[in-house]
Amino acid sequence: MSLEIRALSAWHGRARILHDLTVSVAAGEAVALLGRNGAGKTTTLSAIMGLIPHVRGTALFNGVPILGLPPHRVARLGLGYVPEDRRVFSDLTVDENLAVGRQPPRPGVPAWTPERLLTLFPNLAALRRRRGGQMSGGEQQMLTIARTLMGNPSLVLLDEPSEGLAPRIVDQMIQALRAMKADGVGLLLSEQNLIVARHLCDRALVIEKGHLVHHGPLADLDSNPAIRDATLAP
Amino acid sequence: MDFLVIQALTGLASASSLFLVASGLSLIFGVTRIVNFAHGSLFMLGAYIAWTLTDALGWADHAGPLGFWGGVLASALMVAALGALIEIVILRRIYHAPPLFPLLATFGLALMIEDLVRLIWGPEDLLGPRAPGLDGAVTILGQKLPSYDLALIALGPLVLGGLWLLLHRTHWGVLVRAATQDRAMVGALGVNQARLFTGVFALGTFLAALGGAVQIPREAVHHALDMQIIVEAFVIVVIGGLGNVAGAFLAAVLVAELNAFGILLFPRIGLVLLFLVMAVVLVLRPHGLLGRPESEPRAAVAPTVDPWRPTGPTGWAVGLALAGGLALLPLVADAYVLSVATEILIFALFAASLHLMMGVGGMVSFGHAAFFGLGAYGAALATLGWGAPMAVGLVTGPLLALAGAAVAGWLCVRLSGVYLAMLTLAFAQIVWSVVFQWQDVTGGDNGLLGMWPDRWASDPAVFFWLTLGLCGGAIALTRHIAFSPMGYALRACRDSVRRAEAIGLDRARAQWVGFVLAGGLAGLAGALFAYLKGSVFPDVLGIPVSVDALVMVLLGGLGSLTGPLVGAVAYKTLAIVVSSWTDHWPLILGALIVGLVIAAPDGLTGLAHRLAAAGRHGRRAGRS
Repeated sequence: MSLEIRALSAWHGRARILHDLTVSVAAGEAVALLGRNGAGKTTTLSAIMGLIPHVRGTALFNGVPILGLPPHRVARLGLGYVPEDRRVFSDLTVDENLAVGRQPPRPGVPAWTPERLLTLFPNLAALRRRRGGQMSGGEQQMLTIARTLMGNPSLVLLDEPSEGLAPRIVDQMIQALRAMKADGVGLLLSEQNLIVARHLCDRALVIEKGHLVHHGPLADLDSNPAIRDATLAP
Repeated sequence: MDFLVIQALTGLASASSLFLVASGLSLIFGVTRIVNFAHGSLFMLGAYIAWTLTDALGWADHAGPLGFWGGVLASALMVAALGALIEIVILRRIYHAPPLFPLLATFGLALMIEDLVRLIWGPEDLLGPRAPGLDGAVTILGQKLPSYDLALIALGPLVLGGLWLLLHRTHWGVLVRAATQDRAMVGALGVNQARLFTGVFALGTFLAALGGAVQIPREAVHHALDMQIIVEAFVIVVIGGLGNVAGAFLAAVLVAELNAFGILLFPRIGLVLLFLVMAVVLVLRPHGLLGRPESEPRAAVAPTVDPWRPTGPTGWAVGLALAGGLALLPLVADAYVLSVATEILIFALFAASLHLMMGVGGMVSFGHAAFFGLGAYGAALATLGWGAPMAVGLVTGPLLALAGAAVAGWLCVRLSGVYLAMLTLAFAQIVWSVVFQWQDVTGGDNGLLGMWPDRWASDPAVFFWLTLGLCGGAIALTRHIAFSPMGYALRACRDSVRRAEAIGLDRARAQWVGFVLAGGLAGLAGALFAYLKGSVFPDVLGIPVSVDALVMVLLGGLGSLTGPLVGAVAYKTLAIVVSSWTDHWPLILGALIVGLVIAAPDGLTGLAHRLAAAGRHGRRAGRS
């Protein structure tokens, strides 16, 4: 088991956002975290990364308790994080952005180099000296995934990677994520719709107002339109 | 003409030292978001330690150039180690506190360092050694320029180049630049922020101390260097653009040349010129010459978790009981205690007026003394110039402060965050130098003497009651404003400018009105202060008074309306009590401030709330 979370709750100030979530991702598995805008997907992922101060519950990553650790310790255990708003360093070039994410190779996980990443994201190859702030949204999304891979993670948390991207770019990204998965990198992917998840994920978790309302194979959602329509954006 | 060239070169030599200090300040702010008020103190420490090594221990005499430069470098390294220690022991604990708390902690450090310097090196000016090998002069266009100045002129660009290489050609430098933009993301990518911050803080203090150490052959070392340099460094960093090293270099040259030529052209308003240039730059380029707007607007003041509640019947009862109890004070207290109590009341209003600007309006002011001082001078000029009674002075004082706040506010509301704070500081310094230099009207440094209250109020008890009535009423007014539609508009703009503007609020106008009102109330406090003391000096406009106000508000807790009152009473009482025991009250006060910031980052009122909550929790646990 790669990531195992039990009874995760999180608060922003006094408002409780998450209610006792249970999430698990096996090694190399791709799991979709689905829910409407405001359901608590971003909070779930940032709580796992240690970016939210007020949390409760347990989270084990490869057997190591990570809840309460500072974000850099979580990242160094091999848990990668791709934030919703991309957060590319706009003053830094593509190469420099990648350098910030660089971590030593990890045993048992494929080691990424800028060269290998640029074959995965060919768009970036021509832009290596371009500043992050001068790139299109799609290019930034590729860069932020590549930057996270520089840390050689064994599991990547992806927060709504398809948001605001043109369909053609989404297709390119799906190809890249598939290649990552084929390399043995696990994925926990948050989305409001099933477009990306269908191509990658085996299982789905559906959350609503911070509660886990459904979990099971992705195919169940199609056979259970009530849950799908109640919880997902059309 | 030849003379002008030499003047320009001398200016460039000064620019190097200024650049070193300012680049360190800028780097530290860029990565850690800390406005390091102790930066000037570390500069001063660098100068003192370099003096000890090269002069008192005789390194420059015994070992020549190697001894001198070795001493300069050793001093900078020692101060850098101290900087790392400060970051690890103090600042690391408060990064998650509201953004202004680290500022308060560094202010406490500045107080401590200044006092320690006086303890260790004494109050006299110390003359530094000449740099061996560079003690001659070169002749340029028939004029002599010290060789040492030429060396300094070269040092500035050298350090700029070195910093550029460090920031652009090393992995550490890339991490620093990344953290300047988004430090949380850098952490989520596996970078140990704490270690990065320690490194940046050590590098910044190294540059500050080096800037101080290289100045010793040119200027005497004294214990007022800290405040002198911190103001110039702030101005340079703001003109250049926060977090931008190249901008700091440009601005350092600009400021140093302004100093060099300002003295020639306008000998009487040199300082005013400096701040005028800063005001012009900020109005034209709100983020400095080379600065860029922040990608995400950060609120200068953390939103309050507990929404404020209007004063209910209990609140009014407590307030009135408190005022009633205070009104009985003259029955038991002597004249000295009454004058202390009157002063505390005045400072409570001063703090409440700053809280209206900062806590309610979200506009941080580093120059609130401007309005306090304008109020004092407005009253003094009416009383002494026109022979008007006190009742008139208590109106003209606040009116002058209102007028000053109207002008300053018109400029300031175009900016936000630290830039706004710096512009308020600039405004206060401009007013200070006008008052200081316009001797015919203000008496300059000699001040205005002999403005006592009218005969009916000359009894300390009557003046205390008058102050209690006016300050109590004005403080009640600030509470009322916080819950008026204007207060809601101000708080909306404080919490989210975009959302406030999107629902149709005129942000600039709301903030301007808040700014002017806060200035006027500070003016009332200043006018009362002038009658209490019987005289006015330019000190009332000085940076220490502005800092006092800031400390009172932050000490009490920015997130509470009662905070400034608690802070004013605690701070003033502490200052008066401690300074009656010992001459070293800055040291003790500084240590107390640092300790308090670490123990209670939400201020005294926050501490009280937490203790009360813990008490309730404990009782509940005890019962079950």
